[in-house]
Amino acid sequence: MIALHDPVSYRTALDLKVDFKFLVEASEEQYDSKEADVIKFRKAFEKSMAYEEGRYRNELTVEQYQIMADIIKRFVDTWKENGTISEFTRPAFLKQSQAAWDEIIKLERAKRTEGIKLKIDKTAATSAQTNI
Amino acid sequence: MDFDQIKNDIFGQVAALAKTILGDRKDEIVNETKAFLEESEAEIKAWTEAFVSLKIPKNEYEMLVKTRIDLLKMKALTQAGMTLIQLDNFRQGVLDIVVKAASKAIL
Repeated sequence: MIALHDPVSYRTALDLKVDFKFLVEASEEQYDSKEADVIKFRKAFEKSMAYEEGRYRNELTVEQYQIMADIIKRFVDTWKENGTISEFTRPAFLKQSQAAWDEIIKLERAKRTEGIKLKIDKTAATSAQTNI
Repeated sequence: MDFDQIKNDIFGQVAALAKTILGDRKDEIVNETKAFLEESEAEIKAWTEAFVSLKIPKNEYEMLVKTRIDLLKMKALTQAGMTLIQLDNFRQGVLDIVVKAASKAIL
């Protein structure tokens, strides 16, 4: 079994996807001038990862967040090291990373909105009780 | 109460449900993975050319390739999740079939 759909998780993943897009686009500028934005984004990401870790039967999404944490770290380290990210790499990386966010969003969207439960045929149950 | 009849009725409905819910899953996963790998080959080739022609530094090249591999892992996790969701739907369907059959039987 897998966690149920959570609108908060879904919304947060969409917000993080868009915020990360802005961050990748900003990497045409020097890392130092954008470090505050990077820190702000990483804090928001860590909060949402902690939220995902707290959800019941949510191991697959947590694993996806761990992979996303690696992608973000690799990007920030490269940006920091190079000062800026090249014109060639920016759109290529943006495409890959946005597709990775889409996987988190796709899985959350597909989750059931309610748990497995007994759906008793009320008409049959009432007739059965009358017959007893 | 004819238990064989109930049993056969349940088995028939469960088999039909399994085919509907889980049947196309295998082909879908194989086709998606194949398409992704073909697209990856083209992307990695373009990045390698950019790296060899010094358009991008080594660490950016590595970042792109590693992210592509991570994307494949993300897709595998989504597929695993989708399969679990379908299994949950299957469980719910089986439960409904059994409850309905039992309700009918005691009428």
